[in-house]
Amino acid sequence: MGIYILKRLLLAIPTLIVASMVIFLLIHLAPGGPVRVMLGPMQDAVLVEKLRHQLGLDLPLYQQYFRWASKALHGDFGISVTIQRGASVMGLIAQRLSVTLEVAALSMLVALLIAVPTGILSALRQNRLSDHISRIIALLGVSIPNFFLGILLILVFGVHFLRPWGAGGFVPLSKSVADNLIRMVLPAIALGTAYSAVVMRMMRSAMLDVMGQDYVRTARAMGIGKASIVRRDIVKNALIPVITVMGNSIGYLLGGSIVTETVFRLPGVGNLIITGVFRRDFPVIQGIVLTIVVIRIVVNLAVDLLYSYLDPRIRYGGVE
Amino acid sequence: MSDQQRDSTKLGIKAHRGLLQEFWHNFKRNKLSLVGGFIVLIYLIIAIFAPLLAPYNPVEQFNAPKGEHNPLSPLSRSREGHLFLLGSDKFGRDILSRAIYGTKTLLEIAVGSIAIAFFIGVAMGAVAGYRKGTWVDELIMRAVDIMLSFPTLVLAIALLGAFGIGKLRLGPIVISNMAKIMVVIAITYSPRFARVMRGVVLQEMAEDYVDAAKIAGASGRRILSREILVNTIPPIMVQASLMMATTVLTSSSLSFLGLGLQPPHPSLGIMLNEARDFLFLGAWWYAIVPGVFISLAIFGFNLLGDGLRDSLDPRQARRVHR
Amino acid sequence: MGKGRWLLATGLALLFASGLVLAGELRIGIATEPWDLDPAIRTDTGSGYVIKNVYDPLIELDQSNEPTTEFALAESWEWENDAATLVIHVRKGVVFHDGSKLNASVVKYNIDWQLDDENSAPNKGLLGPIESVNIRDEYTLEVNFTGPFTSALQQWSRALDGIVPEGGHGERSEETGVGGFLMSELSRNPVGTGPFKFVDWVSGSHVTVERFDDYWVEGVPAPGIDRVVFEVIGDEAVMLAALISGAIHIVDKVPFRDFATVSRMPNIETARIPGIQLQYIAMDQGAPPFGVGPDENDDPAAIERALNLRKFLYHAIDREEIADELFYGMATLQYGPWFPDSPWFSPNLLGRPLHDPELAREYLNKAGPDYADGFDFRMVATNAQWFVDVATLIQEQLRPYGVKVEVIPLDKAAFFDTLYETFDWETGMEDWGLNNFLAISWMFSGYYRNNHNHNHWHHATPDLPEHYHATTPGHDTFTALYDEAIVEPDEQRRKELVWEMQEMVVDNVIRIEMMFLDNLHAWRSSVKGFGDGLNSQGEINLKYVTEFTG
Repeated sequence: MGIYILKRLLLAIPTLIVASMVIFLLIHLAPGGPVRVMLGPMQDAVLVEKLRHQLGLDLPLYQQYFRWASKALHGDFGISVTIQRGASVMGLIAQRLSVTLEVAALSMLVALLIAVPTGILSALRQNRLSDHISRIIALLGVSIPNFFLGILLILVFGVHFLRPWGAGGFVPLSKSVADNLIRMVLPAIALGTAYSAVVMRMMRSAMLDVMGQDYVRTARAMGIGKASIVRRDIVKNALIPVITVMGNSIGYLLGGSIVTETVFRLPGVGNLIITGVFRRDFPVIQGIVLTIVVIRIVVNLAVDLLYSYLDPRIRYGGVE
Repeated sequence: MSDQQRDSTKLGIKAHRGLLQEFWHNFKRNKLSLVGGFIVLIYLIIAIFAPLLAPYNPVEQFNAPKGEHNPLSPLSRSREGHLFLLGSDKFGRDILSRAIYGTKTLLEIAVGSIAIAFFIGVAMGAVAGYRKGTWVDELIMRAVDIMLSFPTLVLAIALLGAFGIGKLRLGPIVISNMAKIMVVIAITYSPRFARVMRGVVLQEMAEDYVDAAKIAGASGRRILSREILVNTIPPIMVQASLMMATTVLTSSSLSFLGLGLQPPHPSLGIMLNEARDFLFLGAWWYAIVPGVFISLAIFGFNLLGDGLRDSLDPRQARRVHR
Repeated sequence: MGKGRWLLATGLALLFASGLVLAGELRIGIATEPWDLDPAIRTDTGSGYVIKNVYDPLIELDQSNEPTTEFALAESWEWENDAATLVIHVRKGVVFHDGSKLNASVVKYNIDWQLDDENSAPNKGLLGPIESVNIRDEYTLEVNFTGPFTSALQQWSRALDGIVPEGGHGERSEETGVGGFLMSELSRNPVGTGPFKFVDWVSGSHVTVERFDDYWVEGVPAPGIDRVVFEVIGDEAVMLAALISGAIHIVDKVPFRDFATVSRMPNIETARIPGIQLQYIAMDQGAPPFGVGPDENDDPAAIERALNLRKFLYHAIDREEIADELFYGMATLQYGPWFPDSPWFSPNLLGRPLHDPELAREYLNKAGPDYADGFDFRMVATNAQWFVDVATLIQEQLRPYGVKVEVIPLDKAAFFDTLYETFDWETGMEDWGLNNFLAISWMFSGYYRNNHNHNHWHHATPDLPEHYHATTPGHDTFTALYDEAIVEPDEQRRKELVWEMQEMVVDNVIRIEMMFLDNLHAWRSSVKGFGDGLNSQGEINLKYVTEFTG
């Protein structure tokens, strides 16, 4: 088990390094740099050269990479060049990450609230009409893009009922809990619903798997009540793959939050990367992508470890 | 190779061929996949016959009647009397026509991306599978891992951020915006194809008929490669169909964010983005029409993919991961 | 009370309390985050909103854009030496937020700092051809120009729109790497003489300023305002919703499509003021079709062809349709490079045909067989606000002539790159805040010099890339006219020379200037008097607010 952890950790490092190189190269190959954006209409060849030199953009690419990478290792992602001059990228990300995480967490909550009961029910009533219907509804949920769902929600609820808050925007928790939460309702539902469909399908198939297993059959044969079996063993064991799926789909949530934040104008990390792309703010784009990749890798690792801990088959060196 | 050996190889292959027919039989019986197939068919028809189906030119702008302002609601008419069945957009363009052409573009991008991803991914996966355990396999799979550590949309955004909006000029070579988007999406999805392909190749290689062919010698191996490839088709088709759904989602998300197709190109994602400004002014049709067109497409491909997967050998169905 | 009702009551109370705006806090929504709060460095609008209220200018402009001393740090001024020397009397009794006093020496510091090339001040050119700046006494400053410089007052109202304490700019940040280049000590910590002093700036969120009780004008800031928060709200819809719900009190602008609806709302005042945001089409005159290639410089046929195509474009575009469709009619059409209702605008240009399909067809035919049946070209536009929309409309307007316009939305970085580095464009849709306020200085900034504005009237100069080879003839005549006008003492004669210059610009179709957009403002009725401070520049000026009742 210890070796397993070590192996995974060691694998993560080169992945991270190569990923960072890819990110760096990608952004720097882009046409048009941050310099002209910074100067706006006041274009002047002399100023452009001066600024380029200041930003170190006239150095060879590999040197720029090493500068950036070594700073990044210390948690310094540089300073934003066009979004907010002088602001530390790390600071910007940290500030906005809390917004994104809040949306992600609330969406997960919504997803669980919808998916777990429906998944269980669906598995228990397998192949009956209600199962088919819920599967189709789940499929529909997955098929509606979350930006469309968000717009629909604004159209239906935002325009008429939640008018002042329906258009989105964000109020920090420190300012007002109520104001903050009411603006989270629509985004969480938008992102959470699509996500719930995925979780529900997973829940259902995981439960079906477990239900078909030997020890459950044995228990039923022994006459132990259906309800107690459901509660204790099936659900608990079905939750394992579900948790791993959810952990692995942190990527989906982060990607989904980009769109959700755009629709509801939430100042999160997703919104920041889009702005960064449009404004050619290299440090910001690189910082965010790297952060997301790191989060993804860390979460994957954690989930793998959790999974291997929970599932006794793996713990004792079984199938991988 | 002796007659006996040749026969047993052929027998093994024949037994395996039977699975394909079984698959088709299952598919026809599965209601879900039929519905999905039907929806996909409709979309294909719309995409192919767009110029015939659309009532107006999707970029032609019509003036609103005096005293009114675009966007106009469904069933209204332009100043010259053109009928907007599903309403007009902010420039006075017919929403129905734009939705039809937008669907065409959507499918073009989806098919193009999947095709490219297919070639890249399948090639990678097949090579890795055949050379299982060697450094080639390790290298390819590490590359796949790295690419998979980027969430799809994030990778696509980073790539598009690098290449910029609109046409891509690499010195003398000019790549159209659409081609660029197809390549970007293909890049983000090929790792999944590669993984699936490798998994399937490995599975096939564990089958009995493979052992039989190996014993049969060199000519057996040639038959073998062909057979393995043929048998990988069903699971790959399932994967492709499911990926069509996500590709449609990704490309419309990118257009929505302003990074994909650019105006005035008719694109469902762009229409949704434009619609946002008019929600509070009551122009519900501006958002609903493109949204429904996108959602139904994804739904159809999902149904089809699910149905295809369920129609496969049930053993396979449970083993194939998404 | 039952548990349930108690819970409900608490819930409602919380909800209610959270909805209450903190008393005395005036909240303003701005669309873009400020970049730099040092007035001698900033070029963006976001910073301008804050700077207007934290600093005072040396010279202010009234609502007809004439120089005034109202809310200005110059008490009076006079010209000497045939308009070659400007004597400024600095206001007494004014203190900065840091307690230091305002005097002539402080003003001299402000001017000298911008004049120093080391500081790369973007507005240095606006200060004019200064020979020397001398202090006559504690509150009197003497500025000697190299010659008569009548544009001084208007241009200085922009160049010195915020007076900083002596030494305030501090050391320029020398940090190599990123971002340090254009910042000064005031960039994130402004100190001025304005009615509000800086409190803090939370990146990506807001800038807070608070009441400065020692402001030199009685009654300003208005009673009821303890604090002002400039909240950055990037989305128009969100900002409008916040105004409607009372979460903010002033918005920086209202989207054109929503103006009518907002105007009808109770508790909200709106104003529509003709503005200075000039919408125009720039054409690359260093290459066909709207210009001539370097090998065609001396080819009169090529020059003629390019001119005909420019005239075609000029008459083919339907400005009125654009104004109606996109701006709901809230724009002022242009007939030339200046405000049409100004006495400094040539009367000969008013009433000349703008959108004229027959004329357009005529010029297209004159351009020769290669073009008469239609041709292709690109129009680049930043994908922000309405630029791509304007380009899309124009694309449709030109289709009947067989002309295919490819609209290329570009993000800002690529946009500037295309215009200044790769020169890969034929036309561009842009806008420009015309805050020169003197017709003659606009002739200079826009058409005389090769400056940061991409060299519209092309003429080769050693410091610019070869692409700007001499193309459209007449530039020499134009510059001669300007040189004569700038020293002409008689105002009427000067006007006539300016008119002639404007006519030259239009006759040669150097650019296609379409319209000035109106500034659309909205604010809550509780901010009384705010409307009086509105001007054509769309600034948010709190100095005119008389009372704030939350």
